[in-house]
Amino acid sequence: MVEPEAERAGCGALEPDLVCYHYGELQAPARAALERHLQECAGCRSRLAEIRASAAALDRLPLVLPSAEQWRRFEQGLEQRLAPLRAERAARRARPAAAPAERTRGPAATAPTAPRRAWARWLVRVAAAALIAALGVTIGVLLARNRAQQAQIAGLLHEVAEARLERGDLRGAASALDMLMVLAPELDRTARLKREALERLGADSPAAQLYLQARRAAEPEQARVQLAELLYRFPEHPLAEEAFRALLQRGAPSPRPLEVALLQPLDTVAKPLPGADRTAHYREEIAKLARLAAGAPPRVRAYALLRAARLADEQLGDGALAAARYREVLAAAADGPIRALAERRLAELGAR
Amino acid sequence: MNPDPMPDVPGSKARARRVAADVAQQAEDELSALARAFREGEEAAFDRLQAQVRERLYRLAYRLTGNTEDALDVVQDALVKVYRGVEAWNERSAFYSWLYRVTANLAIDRLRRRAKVREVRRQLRQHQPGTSPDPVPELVERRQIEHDLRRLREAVESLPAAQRAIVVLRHYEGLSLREIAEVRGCALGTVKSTLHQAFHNLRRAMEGAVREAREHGRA
Repeated sequence: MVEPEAERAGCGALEPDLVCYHYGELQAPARAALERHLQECAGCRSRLAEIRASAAALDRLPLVLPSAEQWRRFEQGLEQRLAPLRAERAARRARPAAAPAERTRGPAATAPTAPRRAWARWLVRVAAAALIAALGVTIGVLLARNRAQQAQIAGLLHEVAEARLERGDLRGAASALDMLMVLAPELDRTARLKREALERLGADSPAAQLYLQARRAAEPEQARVQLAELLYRFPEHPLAEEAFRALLQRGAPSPRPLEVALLQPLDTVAKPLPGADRTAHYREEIAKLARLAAGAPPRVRAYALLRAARLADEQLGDGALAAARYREVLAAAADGPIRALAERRLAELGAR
Repeated sequence: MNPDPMPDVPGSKARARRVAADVAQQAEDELSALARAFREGEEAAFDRLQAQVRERLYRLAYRLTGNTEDALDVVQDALVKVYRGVEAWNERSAFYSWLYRVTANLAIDRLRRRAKVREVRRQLRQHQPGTSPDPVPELVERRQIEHDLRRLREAVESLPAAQRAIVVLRHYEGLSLREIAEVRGCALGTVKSTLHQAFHNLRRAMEGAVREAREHGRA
């Protein structure tokens, strides 16, 4: 008996026909010829059986239908998106007399609507800016439903990243750039801004130098010293979080490329799962950071307490808890930017 | 409609196909009429139209994107596109065919974008500490089924967008290869060879699951 594999090698040209045959897509003469061949060729019969089994397996994949709630949200979302279009369409239909004259003017006919479009664009821009400000960059990106909206959001993200770079909020700039890299990695402007950010955040910055030294360190203890120095001197730098994480993992910095570490720093604080109790989650994270701080060397303790204070401040909005944590930071950090940050925020909370 | 299977007598299948084709044609004509009414200014026609097509479009989008949220987004994008650009429907094809093409292409675009993002995430994950699964004995059987389904889903998801599109259009949507060529705007030969390639890749990606399906088939 001929081996199936050997037979298959001889009838490779027939293989595309086997799938067509399975789906009843072969014309009568080709079908008859293939059926004759199948009677003689065990390899092709086996291949056809495999195609049928693959198709049967495909049938087992369930079709998940949306819930009534998902359809309701779908309708709401659709209506929101259609509302401005409906208004525009109604307005277009309300001025039928002007239309024929405009149409004869060719491309210039679009001129009367241009100010309206600019106005509409401006409105969308303001709304998107407000949305981003209110909900955060991530949600803004997730809400971007189509290319036009994505382009608008990308434009705003550029502005956010530029503004953050200008005012020295490097971590914030990295976060905006991270989103941009997902949303519009191909844009020249993204690439330019990324280069610029990397120059500011990048390999020449003292924080990155410390990080690279830690990575190159021969001894873990040496690496830990560099990492602790990094997060104590540059607590706002994106690499501080990377350094903190590395310290929690016994001083082994992640081998990710520096560029990736700069633009997408790994966070030590987990985000709450969808549907989870956000407050309970962050309280647990704060308690965890406090426990870590208790057993850590002074510089690392100061940073861990600052992270805990910021979580209470920014995620929970719990002024009393935040103030208590900031005071612990003051006790742990005798000087440096961590202390300055805590002092400033304590003063603001006190003033409020 | 009679839910019993059609008796297998000569000519009955052909008659059933003709009846189904007539029903489909009527539905197509109705949708085309609604689209025409909307184009001419009847706003309510759009609402009726979207209510009639959204579930069919969802099925297509779900098979292409593989998840509910993306599929709903695609359907929404398609409907907004239709609202905005119904003038682009030139009546050379039935309205639903046009809408179907719009939806399929939007879903395929999304699939391609997602594949890029997934690749970046995969690269990032390689550099991050992983977590090992924590098997719980009493859940082993359920996990096996979930595992098989996941493997199947991954096998389909691992197909390049063009191959996946053709598998979905042929296998789940029941379009003929000629119709697929029209929807995708490519040659019939390309559709055939892509479908063959897709099955070849599927077989490689899910050999275990296929073996099991064959055993089920024999049982």
